[in-house]
Amino acid sequence: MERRRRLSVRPRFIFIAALVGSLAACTANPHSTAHVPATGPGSVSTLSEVAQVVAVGGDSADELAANINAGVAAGKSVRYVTVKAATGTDNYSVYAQIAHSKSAVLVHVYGRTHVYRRSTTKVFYSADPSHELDIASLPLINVPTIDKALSTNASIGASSTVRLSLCAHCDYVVGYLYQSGPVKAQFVASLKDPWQINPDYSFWKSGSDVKLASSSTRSAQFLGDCSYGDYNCGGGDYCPFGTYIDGNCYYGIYSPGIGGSGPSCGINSQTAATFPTNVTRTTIGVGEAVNLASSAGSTWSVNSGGSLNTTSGSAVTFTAGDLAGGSTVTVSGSGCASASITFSIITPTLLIQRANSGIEHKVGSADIGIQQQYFFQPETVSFVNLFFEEEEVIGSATGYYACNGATQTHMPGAPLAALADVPGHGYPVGTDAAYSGSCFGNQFLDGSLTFNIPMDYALTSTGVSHRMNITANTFTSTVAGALNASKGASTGSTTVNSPTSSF
Amino acid sequence: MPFFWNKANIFRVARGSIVAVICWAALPLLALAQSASTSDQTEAHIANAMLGLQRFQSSHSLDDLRATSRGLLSSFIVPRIKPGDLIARRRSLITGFGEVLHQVDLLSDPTFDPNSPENTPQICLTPPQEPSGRQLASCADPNDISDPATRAQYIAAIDKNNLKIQRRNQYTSLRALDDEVMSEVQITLRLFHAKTTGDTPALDNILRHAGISDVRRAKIDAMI
Repeated sequence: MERRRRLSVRPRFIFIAALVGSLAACTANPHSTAHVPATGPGSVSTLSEVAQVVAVGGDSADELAANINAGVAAGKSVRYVTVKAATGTDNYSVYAQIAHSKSAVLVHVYGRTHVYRRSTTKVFYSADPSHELDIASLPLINVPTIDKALSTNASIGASSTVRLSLCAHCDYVVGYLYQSGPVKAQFVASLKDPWQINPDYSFWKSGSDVKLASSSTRSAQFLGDCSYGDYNCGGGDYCPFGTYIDGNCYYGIYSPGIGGSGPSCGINSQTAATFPTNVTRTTIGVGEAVNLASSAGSTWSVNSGGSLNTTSGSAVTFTAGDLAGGSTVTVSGSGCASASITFSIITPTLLIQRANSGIEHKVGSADIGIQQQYFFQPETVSFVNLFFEEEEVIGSATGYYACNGATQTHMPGAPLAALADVPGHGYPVGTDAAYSGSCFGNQFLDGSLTFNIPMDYALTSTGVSHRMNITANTFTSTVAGALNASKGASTGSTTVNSPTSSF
Repeated sequence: MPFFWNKANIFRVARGSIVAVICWAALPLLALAQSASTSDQTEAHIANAMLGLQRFQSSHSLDDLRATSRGLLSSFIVPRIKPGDLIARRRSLITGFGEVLHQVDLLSDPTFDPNSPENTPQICLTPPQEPSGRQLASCADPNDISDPATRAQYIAAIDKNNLKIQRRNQYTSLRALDDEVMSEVQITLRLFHAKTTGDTPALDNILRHAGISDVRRAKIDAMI
């Protein structure tokens, strides 16, 4: 019986093992990930893509085309950039630097810049229409001369004959003077494999054809030096949007951070709170929620100071932590260079204001009360739904007020959530009555009652509370019948013989 | 080394053939499985997010509604959705958001004014004066009031104030949630809009069936 059972199990095991093994053999790729860059465009995002996707580069349009064909022939899923213009399609290395301006899509490649009219241009990764890039998510650059030329149809850059030879479907070709040949010798990278040649991103490294503008007021602003090499600003074929700075001629004014490994994944940020109205702000309050979206990226991380609802998706929600500081969220994706956004997180301060001019008092009694309103500030971030509470504390009484005990307990109610902003004041968190109490007997005595009250905020009504300050709440009486009350900056006074009044 | 048709080699060749046949036969299934897994991943994530709504039905916690909305927002990766599936996925997402917003609408009380005096809670209440003439300071511990009737009166006032606090906190949390969900709907529509436009009547119909307010539906329609 035992033998029969063992014999019946064994063939089933072999069959399952064979099935698993053969499926693994079917899906395994001997090239594995060797040809896939570890980071940047073309890096892989799913296991199913690991063995198949390769990023394709090239030092010229012809070379790129040959590399794409070689990759396809090798059975790879090739990843490259396609620009679809009104008149046709151009392909680019995944490391081509792509940016947009008000009116243009600009591709910096082969040591020059190809310009397309933005309104009629679409950008994709490979020819797959599902890989369309959101042009608005590309780096934004300021190229007023090009924008103006596009709006007026002025002729700039390379002459039409040269332009067509360099870029068949561009509106303009501007920038560094290279005809259709390969890039400068020092930038030609060594071969990596037949279909992937290290692309020309090194053009944006400082030193040769790029330098930092001495008069720049923006950090890391790169300007190409048109006076380098064999052409000049005035008469050169490619230099119409140049400008003179410090006697030198430059082309192209690019935004910080454009150099590197291809188009950014891009992050669009939108605070969940609709007030303040600037929902793209990066200074936020503790506990504030911000929705982050990336049309190209999908893997998210945060360094500290806050949390994400998840680490995967085209969009995630970032929630600031409960302490002041900075927090950086980064997104990466299979077809884009990682992008980051840094938030500055601030804690609330407390504003205490008299709610009205009324005084709580009974004629002939040494009692005094004032009413105040509390607000979270500043108004530049949202503190809606942040909780406020006074902490329980023991106060000390002397003279007249000691009749109710030399020590008295201050025991506030439950935490209160802040309401919508009241312009000029802040986020209302509550109304407070500060009343001294009273005793029978002689009302004309010196006395004091003091509570030093910890004022806290918390992200939830039951969460950990954090101290904003300790506010003094004091009542005093004198033998002359003068009565004073204060709680923070809110103060009031009356006398024992004043008529009865209320808040 | 010469090859002999011994048992081991026969078995090896046979096993290789079996593997090849299984491999060949399994390829379409594998491709289908991979395709299905990519295609259905969004729907699975949406279904997972909607579990939060189920939890809400019993917990009545706004945190569960918030988790549902955030889960929907993060349930998709647009570039990985097949072009032919984009419209269906967007409809599924709007259906989910519609259900969340319907709950938000059900919980909302449009007549509640948090700034009206009768709805405004106090941080500190002032205890009533005791028959002896003694009156404790505001925020006093009820146990420090010696007269039972005065103490009971004070505790009742505290309880009433706590109800006001609860109601106001619920209102504030709901408003914050409302803003967040609407923001998440907007971002979702924007991400899909970059890939596919149109389908407005169908999306509006989904929102209409969700039972959300006309004002809110108009706001979302403007985002589509």
